[in-house]
Amino acid sequence: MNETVLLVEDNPDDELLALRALKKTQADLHVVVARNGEEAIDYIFARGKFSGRDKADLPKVIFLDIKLPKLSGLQVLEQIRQNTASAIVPVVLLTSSDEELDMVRGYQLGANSYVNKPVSYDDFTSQVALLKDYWLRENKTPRLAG
Amino acid sequence: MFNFNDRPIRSKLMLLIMLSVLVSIILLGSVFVAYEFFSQRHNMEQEYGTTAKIIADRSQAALLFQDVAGLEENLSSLRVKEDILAGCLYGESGLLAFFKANNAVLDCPETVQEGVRRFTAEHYLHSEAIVVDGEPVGSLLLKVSLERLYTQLGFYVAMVLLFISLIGSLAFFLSRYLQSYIARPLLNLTSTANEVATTQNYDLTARRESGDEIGELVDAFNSMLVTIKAQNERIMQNTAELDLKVEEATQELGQSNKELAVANKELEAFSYSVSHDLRSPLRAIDGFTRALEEDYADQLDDLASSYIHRARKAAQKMGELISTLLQLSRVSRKELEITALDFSALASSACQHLQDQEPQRKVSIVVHPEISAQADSLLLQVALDNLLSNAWKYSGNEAHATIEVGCRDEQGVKVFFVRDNGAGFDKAYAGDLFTAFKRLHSDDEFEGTGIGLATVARAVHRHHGDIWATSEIGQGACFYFTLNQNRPMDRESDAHSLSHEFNRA
Repeated sequence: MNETVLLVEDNPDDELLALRALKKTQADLHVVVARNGEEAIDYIFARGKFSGRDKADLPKVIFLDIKLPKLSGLQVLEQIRQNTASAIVPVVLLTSSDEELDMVRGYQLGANSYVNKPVSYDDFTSQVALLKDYWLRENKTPRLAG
Repeated sequence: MFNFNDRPIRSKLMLLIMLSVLVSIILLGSVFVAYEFFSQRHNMEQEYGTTAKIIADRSQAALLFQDVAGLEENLSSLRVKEDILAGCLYGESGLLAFFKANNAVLDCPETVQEGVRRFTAEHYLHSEAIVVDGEPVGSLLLKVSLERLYTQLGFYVAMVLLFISLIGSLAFFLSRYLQSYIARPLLNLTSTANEVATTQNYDLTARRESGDEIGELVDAFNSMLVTIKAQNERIMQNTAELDLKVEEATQELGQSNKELAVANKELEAFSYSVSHDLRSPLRAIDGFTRALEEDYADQLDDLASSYIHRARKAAQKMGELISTLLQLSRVSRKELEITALDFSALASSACQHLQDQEPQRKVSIVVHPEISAQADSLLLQVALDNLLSNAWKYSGNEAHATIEVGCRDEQGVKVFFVRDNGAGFDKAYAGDLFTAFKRLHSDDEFEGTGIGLATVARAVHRHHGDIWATSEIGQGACFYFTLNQNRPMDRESDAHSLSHEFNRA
């Protein structure tokens, strides 16, 4: 089955590097990129430019940046958790911030994990590999959501 | 009970005057009456002595001739003396003749002794020998009534009592009138003082009525009132000024607090932004240069590779700088939560972390056990991490690196310390030790950001503690700090330790 990773990342550099790291672990990995919070919400709830999408086909994991234009990552997380169907989708906050406040808010809003992106690309690559392996291989989620 | 001390001064004065006057008069009267009594008795002795002598002399012849009628006639002349109750004349054989006054009971004793001069309660007895040619031939006894003496004495006593009452009354009225001269100024002073005490009106003055000590007291009291009034006015003025200043200061403080809150908010926003935004370009630099290395390795010569390596190294360094700056900022703005902490455990775990990162290094680490500290957990941890990673780093070139963490008591002040036997630092530049971005070593020698010790100092200062260090190049360094206490001033003042100490930062 085709497992989708939703990457919410506004910075094209970070996006490119993240994609590169993800593809390095698995070349055929299906990654959807949302450039801001609204786009992420549209994708998850099959709205806007994603309105033709099968609503029931939820991503296997969401890698969510916190600092995003328009809707912030934490607001996106809040909306994801308010919807019964998407509430069970694992969300990994993948961010540069190591602010205590972000961590606390993130977990309070129901994030499954909080990961700091390291400055070193090598470290970042191995981190992404680890995350992909865990959330796509080891971690189990119900097949039918909602 | 009558308590003299609590009586009003008016009564005291009256009592004293009356007491002394009465005691004086009574004493005087008693002396006078006693003197009169004894002098009257003396007079009686004289008077009846003379009378008895005359009668005795005149009775000599009649006695010789045993002429009783002559003797009685002789005795009868005693009649003129009204006080004489009886006269008894004795011959050698006994009572020969007698005289008795009217209404008197005759009681001549059988015999009589020679030379009697005796006062009884009611009588005076006087005996006189009748002598012829030097030979006693008989004796005469006179019995005199003391009634007149008592009457006179009674009169004197009455007179004295009259005088006592007269003088007493006079003294009473005089002292009553005169005591007011002493008591009134005092009473005035007292009432003024009471009024001042109850009304707090220091404009009042006591009237001076005399030039004596009371007058001086009144003057002193008045000048005291003036002083108090002046002081009160000054205090009021000072208080008003102080109130004004406090109000101004409060307003300024409020303003400063507002500004500080705004600044803090800005700092927070800045840190947040730094945390998020400054890292991602770095990650991009590092990532894309890494991509270059990976994807175009065959097209890059050694020089190009080394440039790429340098670029990546610079990005790493920048990343560290950002992290340490964020740590400094966090240490500055975090709200303190002071709890009892296991200092030894914190130090040990920080050391363990360092060892885990460089397992190949052999460092002998001594952490004194059972040290506790009252501090904010995060701040103390940051301080210890930085001090220990410094010690770890600067002892890196030592064959037998040693790090010691402990705490000692200096005059009741807990002084924590982290000591190493590493490179140490040049004391000439010790002033820059705790200043952000100042480094005493180049990156060639020891890499670093120059923020670590500034962060430690900030953490310590936020606990109202002091931090200082001692060192000698090549001899290692020791960093000391206190928490919630000032650095003990009067330290063991041996020249060695003093000359190498600097920077209370």
